[in-house]
Amino acid sequence: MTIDASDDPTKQSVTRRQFLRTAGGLGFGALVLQTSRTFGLTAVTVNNPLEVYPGRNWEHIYRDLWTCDSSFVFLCAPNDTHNCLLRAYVKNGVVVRIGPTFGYGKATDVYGNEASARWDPRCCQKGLALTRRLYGDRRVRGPVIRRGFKEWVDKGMPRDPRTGRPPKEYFQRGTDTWASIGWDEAAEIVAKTWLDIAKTYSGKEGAERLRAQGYDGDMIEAMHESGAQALKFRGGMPLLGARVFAVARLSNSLALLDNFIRNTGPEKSLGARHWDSYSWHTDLPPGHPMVLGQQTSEFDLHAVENAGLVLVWGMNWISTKMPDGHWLTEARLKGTKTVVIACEYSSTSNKGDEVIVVRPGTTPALALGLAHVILKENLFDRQFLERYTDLPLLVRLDTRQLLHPSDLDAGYQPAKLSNYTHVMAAGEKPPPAGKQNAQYLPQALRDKWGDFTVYDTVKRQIVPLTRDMVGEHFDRTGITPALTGEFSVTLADGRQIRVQPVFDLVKKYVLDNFDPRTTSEITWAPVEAIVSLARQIAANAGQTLMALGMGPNQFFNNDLKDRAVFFLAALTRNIGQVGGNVGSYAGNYRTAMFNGYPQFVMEDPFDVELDPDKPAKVKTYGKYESAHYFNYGDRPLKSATRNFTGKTHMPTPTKSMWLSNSNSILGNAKWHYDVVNNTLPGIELIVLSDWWWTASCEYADIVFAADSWAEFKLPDMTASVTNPFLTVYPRTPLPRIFDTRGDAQIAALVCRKLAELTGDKRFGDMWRFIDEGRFEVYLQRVLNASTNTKGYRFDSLEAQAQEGIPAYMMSRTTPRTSSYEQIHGSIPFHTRSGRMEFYRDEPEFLASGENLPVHREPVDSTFYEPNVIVAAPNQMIAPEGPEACGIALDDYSTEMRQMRHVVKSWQEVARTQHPLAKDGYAFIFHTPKYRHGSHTTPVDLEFLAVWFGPFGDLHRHDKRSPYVTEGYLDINPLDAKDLGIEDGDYIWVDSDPSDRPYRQWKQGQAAYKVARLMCRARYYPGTPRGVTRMWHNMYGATPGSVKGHETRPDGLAKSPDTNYQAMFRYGSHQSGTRAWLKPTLMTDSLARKDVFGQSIGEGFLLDVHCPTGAPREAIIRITRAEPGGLNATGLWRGADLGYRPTYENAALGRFLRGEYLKARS
Amino acid sequence: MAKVYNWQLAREMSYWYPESRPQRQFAAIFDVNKCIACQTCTLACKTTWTSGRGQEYMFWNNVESKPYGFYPLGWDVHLLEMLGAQNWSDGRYEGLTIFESALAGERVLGFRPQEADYSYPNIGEDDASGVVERGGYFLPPHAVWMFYLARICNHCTYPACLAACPRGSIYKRPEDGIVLIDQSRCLGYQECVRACPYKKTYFNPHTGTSEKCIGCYPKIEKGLQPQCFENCIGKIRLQGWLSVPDKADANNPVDYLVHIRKIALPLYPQFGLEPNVYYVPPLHVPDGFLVQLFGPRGPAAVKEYLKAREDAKLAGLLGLFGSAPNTMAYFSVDAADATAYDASHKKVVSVPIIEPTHIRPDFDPARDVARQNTP
Amino acid sequence: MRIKHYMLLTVASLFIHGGCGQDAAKLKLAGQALARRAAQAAEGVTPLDPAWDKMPFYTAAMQLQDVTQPTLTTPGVAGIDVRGLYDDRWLVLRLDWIDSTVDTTAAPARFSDAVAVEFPTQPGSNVPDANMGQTGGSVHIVQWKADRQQKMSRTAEGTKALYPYSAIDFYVEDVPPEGPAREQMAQQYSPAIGVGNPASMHTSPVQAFVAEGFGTLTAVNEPEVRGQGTWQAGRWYVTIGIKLPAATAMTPFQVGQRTFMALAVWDGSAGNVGSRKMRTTWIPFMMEAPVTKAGL
Repeated sequence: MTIDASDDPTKQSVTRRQFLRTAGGLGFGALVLQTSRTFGLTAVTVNNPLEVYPGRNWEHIYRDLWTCDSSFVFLCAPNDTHNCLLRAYVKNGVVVRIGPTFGYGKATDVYGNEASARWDPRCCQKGLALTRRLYGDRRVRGPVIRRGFKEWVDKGMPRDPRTGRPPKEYFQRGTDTWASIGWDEAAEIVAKTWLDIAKTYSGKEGAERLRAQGYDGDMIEAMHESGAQALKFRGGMPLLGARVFAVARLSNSLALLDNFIRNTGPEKSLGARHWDSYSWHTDLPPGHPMVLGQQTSEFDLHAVENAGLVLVWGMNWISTKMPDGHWLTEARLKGTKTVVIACEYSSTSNKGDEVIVVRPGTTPALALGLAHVILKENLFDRQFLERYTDLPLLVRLDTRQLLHPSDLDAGYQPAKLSNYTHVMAAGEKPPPAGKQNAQYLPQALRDKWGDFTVYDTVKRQIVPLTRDMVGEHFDRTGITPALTGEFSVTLADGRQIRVQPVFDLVKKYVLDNFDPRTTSEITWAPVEAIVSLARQIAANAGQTLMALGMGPNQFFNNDLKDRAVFFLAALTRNIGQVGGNVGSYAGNYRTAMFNGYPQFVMEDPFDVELDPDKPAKVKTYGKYESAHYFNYGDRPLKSATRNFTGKTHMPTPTKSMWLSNSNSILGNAKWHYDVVNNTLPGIELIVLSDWWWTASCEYADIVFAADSWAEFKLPDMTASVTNPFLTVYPRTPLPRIFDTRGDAQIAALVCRKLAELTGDKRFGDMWRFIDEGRFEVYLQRVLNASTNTKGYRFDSLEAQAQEGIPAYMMSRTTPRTSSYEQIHGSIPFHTRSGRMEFYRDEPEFLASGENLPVHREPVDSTFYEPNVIVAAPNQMIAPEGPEACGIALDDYSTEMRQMRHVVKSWQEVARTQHPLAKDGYAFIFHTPKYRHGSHTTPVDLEFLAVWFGPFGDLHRHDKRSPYVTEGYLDINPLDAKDLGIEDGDYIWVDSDPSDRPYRQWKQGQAAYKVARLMCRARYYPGTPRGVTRMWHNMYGATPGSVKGHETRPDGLAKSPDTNYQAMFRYGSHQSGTRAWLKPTLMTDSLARKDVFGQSIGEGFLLDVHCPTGAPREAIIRITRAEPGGLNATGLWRGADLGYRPTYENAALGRFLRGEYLKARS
Repeated sequence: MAKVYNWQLAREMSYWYPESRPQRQFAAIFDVNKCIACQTCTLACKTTWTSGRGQEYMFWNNVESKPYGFYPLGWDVHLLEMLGAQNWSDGRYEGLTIFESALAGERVLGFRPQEADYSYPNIGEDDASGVVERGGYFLPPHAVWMFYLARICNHCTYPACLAACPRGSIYKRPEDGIVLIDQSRCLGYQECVRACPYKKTYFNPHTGTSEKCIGCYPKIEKGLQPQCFENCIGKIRLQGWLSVPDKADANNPVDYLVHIRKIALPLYPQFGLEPNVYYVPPLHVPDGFLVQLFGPRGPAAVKEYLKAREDAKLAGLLGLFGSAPNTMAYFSVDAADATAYDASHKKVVSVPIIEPTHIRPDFDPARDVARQNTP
Repeated sequence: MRIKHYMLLTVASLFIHGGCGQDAAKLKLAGQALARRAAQAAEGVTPLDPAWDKMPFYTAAMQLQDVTQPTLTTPGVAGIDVRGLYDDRWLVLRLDWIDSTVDTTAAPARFSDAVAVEFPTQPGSNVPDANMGQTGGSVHIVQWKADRQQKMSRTAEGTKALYPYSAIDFYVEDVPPEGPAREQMAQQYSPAIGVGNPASMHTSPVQAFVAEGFGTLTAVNEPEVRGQGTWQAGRWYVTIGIKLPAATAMTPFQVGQRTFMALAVWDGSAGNVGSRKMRTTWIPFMMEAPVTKAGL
């Protein structure tokens, strides 16, 4: 008999045949089915579920769960360089899951080049978790305003008549509460406040007020009496899109505001100030422009396919370059030797054929130590050095400056330059970047730099060398320059002096100070590692990729690191080759990929182009400055007697800041609690535009609610420094989930209000195409004007993106390879000499004792005297010592340390110690980036957060835990035991008490309670003794989160007022960091290529030559706070049960020794 | 108890039900040397299948660092200790399986993790096997080491969960070998949770039933790889179909890597379940540990893997991983490219063994523009 | 061996239950369990209704389930006192036993206290195997489970109730507005509920099943069953009510005719679940015919 099967498990059935076939099977459950009719029911019997199972209709439920109504593509682009087009799956109007598009393998360019499917899939756990962020309870659901601020505005913005300061009571940021506000009203308040601030600080009266507030005189002077110059803007990493750059457009267009207040007209008006991103994040490797004359050298990561050897050097490739991690592991399986150099056994170390563990902050010494072996064993490529570097150039031993032909012959006329070079007559302007096919030098600079000299060993005389003479052009000169030797020469004035090639000077310094044993003592790298690696690099000349990461770059000696690494690379021809090059990997920054951006950013607000088919007229009114001065307390770097901040770098006082989609400059800023407690009180308006309530929002006055990537109604575009794709953010069909707007629309709205307030309609005209929903007009202008995108139509790029397909960025090569044109096309580097420069004779470098690429100890993260120059006595290394700069010789304070130039041999240095060592500050504290966050995005989503470290627990058994995960300090188990700290214990972490967590902190202050770092300790066997680590990617404690932690029944460190969710009970990883300013990064004299295009200038250049800070430097003291066990009793569970390092139970011990299975054969 | 043949052990063993192999067996290759522990697989699974009530703590897919990573805490060490040290001899397993060592009154040797053992799913992440004191220089095998082990249900040929369910509510699909818990009949006894040595079944307190990885059968039925494969950016995973050893097909990527090159090995074969996820073992880890986890062929598999440096077919195949969302039933490699085909021999995708380098003109007269690497 | 040990326990339990003194001793039945005609409606009588104290009770001796694997190896509940009431429509049993721990939650590695009563589906003395019946000999089982009862009354969100500090921002199924979309998603994200697994539906503390041997337990939605449990001073007191079929039906529940019942009990904190239980063999049982006052 047969009964129809149905979904109802109580009415299962099978056929009579099955019944008979299986009847009399095994004793167990002998019958498939027996139909007893009692109660009209049937009991289900299953015989062998490996073979047959009755009633599988229930399986529909998972098919139903899988099925979605529709899907669409959006671009996920936090500042991680990857730019993944993701497909969102929609059910019942809700984005239920996200996945890759598998469209990268379909990318092409106008020449028919094609990418392969090996680029797919592109996504990561953070992108997939965004489903939680679109609807999460930290979404900014509409514009909000801080109540106290609103009150100040409603009261007519009262100010102190003398200083202009607003009364404190309206500015209780962090503890104040919030109110919803309409878009128009919010925008109007911002416009009115700018007007008021600009008026207050314009003119001589304005300058007086600022003086009365105690600002540095040079900073006030830098405003040139324009109040608009006190308004600061930052849109996050500009390469991330035009909507981010809209903030720069806004800043430039505020020249109209200056004009309205001071009636200065199109010529004299000044716009606002725009802050840096790449250098602010300490992503900029500041030594790259010193050696190459351009921002940064890098290679698309898939170039590793072409390398024989790859050094993954202080870079956590597999954790921070996730979608490109496979290029490394696949190259390795195909035979590329992988050497991982890190200050721990890092996550990338387990992909290394060889692993070298080193002391943090000693990269310059390691590079010079490797160079030592290569020099000593004569393994370098002499010809490469002659053709492409300044190493043959002669240096005067008397002045330590380069020898110029004009020194020998007063009448010497610099040669006319012709190699890919155009010298501009006075007043001549270069063409737009996108039209430049040569390097543009102002005549004045060309004259100032002059030509250079080498000693020709054939002619046995000193001969001039011009900027043109590189590569093949040098070969044609027939010169065989001396690399070593000391020569005497008669100057034009008859004086006899000695000269020596740069090579010889560097060589002497290296040979004197960095033999393998000494290098090993300095860096902790074993001698055999140094020798073996140096030989391998030499054996792979032109085939070694050196991928340096953020690690070495976040130390104070980062420019010296770059200069030393390039020296090593130059010795071995590892520059400008597809499989042999140097790259620095941190952040996504090369806005010049779209070097037509001035079309959008710098459009002349006095003469707006409203014809969509015409290019914009470009004029710069705004100014740029590094946010590091703001971070430093809105101060320049000065000693009692000396200013170390170049004129071209000088910041202005900060009275207003607008941050768009960026948490890095406030919420997650280094020295965060000093910024909050000592700098913010001087700021009168803080505006944020974001789609998630970050720590920055906690301290804002007005927060605008922005669209998420998945809700974009205005398209946008971006590119990458690690992959070759131009990716478009397509418009999406997902209706806005909350009352949000596009970032550019928000800027436009505020400008419309300015138009109303000032009656100047040009404010509005600036945003015409955004108001019309035609953002693509601006984007197409940029594509048309950019070197590597001309030929693309935005509408077709967007159509492709909607299918999940990006386009190739049309660089000269794919993979994009820096210095390719210099090495393969014999064009000059963007330096004074046209060569890679290892010697710096500018006054700032000579004064710092950094004319040679020396090793300096870190400025704080060292067990020895901080910032000391390591060198045996050397007449070429003669900096201006502390006294010369008005600094006491024994003043090691953090403030003065930055300006101290003291030279000691390693033998001497080895006998010194860090000034706080005696007080128990014995641990280096570094804060690298983690795999489970892209900065702080999107770390506070439960399903992701639970993977953020070893303390993730969705059930939060321990009420003390601030969230479903929490911040922790990685510490060597043996160090922890010495301190009486168990794995998982809560600890206090204190850095230099003179200035951290903030200057003038006091016991008992509520602010101090919020700022002092408390976290769990995690036994981390891979970190060397004395070196501790804490991730950079966490949301820190705020007054609101502390209130939540202490008052909520569930103990979450979540603000009862804003829902802000901290991952710390108290403090944050930024409690230990501070701002640092390095003199050599603030010169007015360094020659470097402009951001956009090929023209070359000197001094400050945003994101190219400016301070970078040293956020990975701190020395800490660690004290036990609470036991890690549940309810503060006993051991944390993992340790208690014997599953943690050094707590192994007997079974885990056997497991580690591999004793559970033995194979005999 | 019945007698069944387990080819991974090269011997017969006892099992609750008689041997019955599906028409084809779901199988997977995980290349440990490519895993970056990003947990993208985990989130792909979590957001697709287990974001409901009662499933919060549940991760059908997880990646744990070995040796100190566990989800749930101590899952494998605890069972290995219960089982005791065992031996292989000449490729044949001489020890006891968890079926053969079941205690009186039990069907399987197992244990129930405590609820708190599922907390801290990422405990041990990146923890090295030993303490680094100062600087170091490590060559393979690394003196201190760790690696990432991605884990899903093994859709075993002899599932312990299935054997242990007193209700027979767990079954193996004849068409693909995927093991499922009947959500309409399960009464939540948690016997499967106790029995599964990989701890890949989970009790849902909201529904009162146990749940497990479903091999993404709604995708498999459409010829697509599961979520944790499609989303694997480390490109460590390939899903296909495994034949029994004597039916191995050299054009089948799974057969090729498991049976022919013997590069991919089961996890804890000694437990006796004939698991169907096969791991390419890490090449920087001591032999003894490899044997303990992947059986006696561990060290030989590493040597074979290193041959990819001169072996285009192997390099090509390993480069195919993750290059398409479709199930890769067959493959071929020529001098420059590797190609995957579906079950009906239709081409799925073709990729170059070395990604091409493109050189563009330094100046494009047609468009009157220079192309620059430093624009 | 085991038997002896087990009888000791039985005695112990009787001793412990000697609380009601002489009356209790008088009311103690030997040889069979009885259900007595109820004075008033049997439906809705609560576990601690004083009426029960006047009812005769039979103490069922529990034994280990040691027949099929997995077995129970550690003895648990030793005895259950059984009382019965019936009227024209309902048979209500009151079962009580010693359990010092109250286990009302089924969660990972946590199990619920429960008790079940089993009857042959056919009348007469030719009964199937007392262990879940046998092929061709089906049994009818009604199980009361503490966690089913608990879930019915639970107010807090399930996960929050189990883990009060757990933190989940939201559930996808809650994103759509109230209505069919939300209902559909709620079902899909809880598959067992989506396919109507009776074990996931907590409409009643009890569930009826039919079985024909080990592993065949199959949920039944007919006939109607009721149940309620109360824990007091170290004992569970549970009522299980079975709606009596029409008199014409072939059923064991015939007034004045002997049939059989078997019991099973689970102590959650001892890890008792499924076949890891204490159980009885068949116990003679009768719905006693009404007797006149004179009869007493």
